[in-house]
Amino acid sequence: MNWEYFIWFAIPSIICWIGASVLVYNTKFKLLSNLLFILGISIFLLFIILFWSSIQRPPFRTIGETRLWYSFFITTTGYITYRIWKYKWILSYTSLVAVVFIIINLLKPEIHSTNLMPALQSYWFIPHVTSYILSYSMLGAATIASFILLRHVEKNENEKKLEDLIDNLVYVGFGFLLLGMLMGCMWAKEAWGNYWSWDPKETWAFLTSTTYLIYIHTRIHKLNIKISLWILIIAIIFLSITWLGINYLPSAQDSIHVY
Amino acid sequence: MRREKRKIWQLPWSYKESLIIVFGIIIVGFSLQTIIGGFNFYLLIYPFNLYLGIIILIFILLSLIFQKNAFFKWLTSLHLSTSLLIAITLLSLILGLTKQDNGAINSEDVNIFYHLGFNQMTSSWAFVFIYFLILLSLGAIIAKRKPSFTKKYTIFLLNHLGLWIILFFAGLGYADTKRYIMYVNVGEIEWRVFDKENRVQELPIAIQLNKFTIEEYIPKLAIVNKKTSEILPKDKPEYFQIDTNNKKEISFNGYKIKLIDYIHNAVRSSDSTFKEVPMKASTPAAFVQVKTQKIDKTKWVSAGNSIQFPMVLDIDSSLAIVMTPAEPKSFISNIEVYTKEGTNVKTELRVNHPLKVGKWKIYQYGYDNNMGKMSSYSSFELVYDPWLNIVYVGIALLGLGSLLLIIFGINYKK
Repeated sequence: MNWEYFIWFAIPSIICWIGASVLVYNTKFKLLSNLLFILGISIFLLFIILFWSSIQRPPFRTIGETRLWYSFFITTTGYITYRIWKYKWILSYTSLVAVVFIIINLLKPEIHSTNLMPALQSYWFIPHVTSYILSYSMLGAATIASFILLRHVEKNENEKKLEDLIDNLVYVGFGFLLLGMLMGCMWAKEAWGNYWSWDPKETWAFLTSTTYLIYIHTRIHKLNIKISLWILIIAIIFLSITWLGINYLPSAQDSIHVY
Repeated sequence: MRREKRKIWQLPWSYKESLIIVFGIIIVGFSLQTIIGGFNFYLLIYPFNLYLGIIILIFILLSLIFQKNAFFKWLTSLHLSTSLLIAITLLSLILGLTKQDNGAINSEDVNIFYHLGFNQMTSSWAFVFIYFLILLSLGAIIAKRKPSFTKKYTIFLLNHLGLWIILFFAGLGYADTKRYIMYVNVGEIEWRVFDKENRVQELPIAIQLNKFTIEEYIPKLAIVNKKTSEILPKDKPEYFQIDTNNKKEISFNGYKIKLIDYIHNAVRSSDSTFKEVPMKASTPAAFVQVKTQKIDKTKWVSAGNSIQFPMVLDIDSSLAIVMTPAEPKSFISNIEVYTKEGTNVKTELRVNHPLKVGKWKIYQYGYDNNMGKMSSYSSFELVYDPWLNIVYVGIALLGLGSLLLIIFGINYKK
């Protein structure tokens, strides 16, 4: 099993997700849409499992592989959020984000099967990366919800439930962000003898988390919701730079995190 | 009843005043930077960091005693916390966008940003001032909050105290950490090390290197343009992973390629053949067949090393099949460590598996990259950090706090 087979799993998953996202708005097809969405996630997970077992190393190494996990986690997050909070649009939008990431992987894979260099051979590797991708998918879902809420705020509509949903996603997503960072510290100490060295990726991860902290504190303070929502949008930009943009920054050419 | 509009600087202070003060401090920091240069964290070497730590603790105690005082009220306000978070985010943004250096600087890089300390952000006065203000404000906030056995307080305490402990001990303890690089030749014993400035020091710890081994991954094949050295296809280089279990013919870049034989530890046995010899100077070699409608060639291909020439398979006058240099899978130093106190430890040191000897931690650092498997030395990093364990306590508290945040989410307040 390798990337050549990806398309045969990706297309059925996409069809399931899009089908479910459309059908969910019709109450007659509620069960079918649930089943379709879960089927889509299962097909996608099957590829990850088969792929993992054939490459004989954890698939967390290349940007293409992290995008693979992201598509899986954001749909899973979207489904769980939908079941708890009953917002139908969350299924549609998380599917859309997953589809975009799948298409990027199909067109520009960046998947050269890289060997694991000695520093990456650690039991911290999988929990560190998983925690981050989980966090990214929740904070991504929070951003989708914040755009929806911004539209309601413009119309002076009060959406307390939606505010709670965003807060919840940010709290849980931030928890994973922090956990991923702390595990990174422990790992860095073992590999390089330093738990924090202001490597560009570390710096960007740090300022991403402080931006989410600003959001959390403005929410505790009940500051104007519009300001808080815009802080969330700035935060997701910083997050994207940390995750995908680092390789293009001139300040990061000596980074140990560039791959 | 309409409340009268509050005037700026009227107590209690709010966002406006907090932001003005915080950014005022940053401006003072940058001005100081242009006059006297950066802050030297090594001034905070023991016992001076202890004195400063005590002063910070006394200050926090004062904030607890005089919590009704308007200044201390402001110090523990959400207005200031948020303003400090904004300040540290912006300073980190500068840090993340500018190239940092370790003091070595070209004259052409000396510009306004250099004078403001952008190239060494973490030791610039603005950064240091905000860091200490965070220590004071965060400490006072933790001290002020009334303890209770609620979810809300527990999560608050774990996250805030955890962070404060990490910031306090990592920052103030920085000058007490020591890190050196030691180079040891195979079969020799060494106790001299190099510090950051490449000065030689002698340590009360000695390392004997008995053996150094490198394991390598099986390399890949690629087709290159001999004139431009570009790997095909031009925009999206493709590699053919050698797999000894799979010797089927495959289509690669429009050519039919087949692996006939592969030797991981190969040494040239004639002009054009290889044989297996498990020695340090050996190198991977593959016997490869390439076919098109016009050609059918077989040849040994090898990336070579500093002793053996590389071998390529010429497809035609412009293209050739080459082997990529083998990447290291692991490097292991078989060492014996001696200390002045008489301890003697024998171990195999690998990346990600440091050795703790007394107060020191020893890390596998590197080897002679040009020589690869034939490296005659191995290098080690020796790190001494007396404040490490307490920083780990902070990391554990913060980790527990974030775990509870994940479990309870928005319900943490209830």
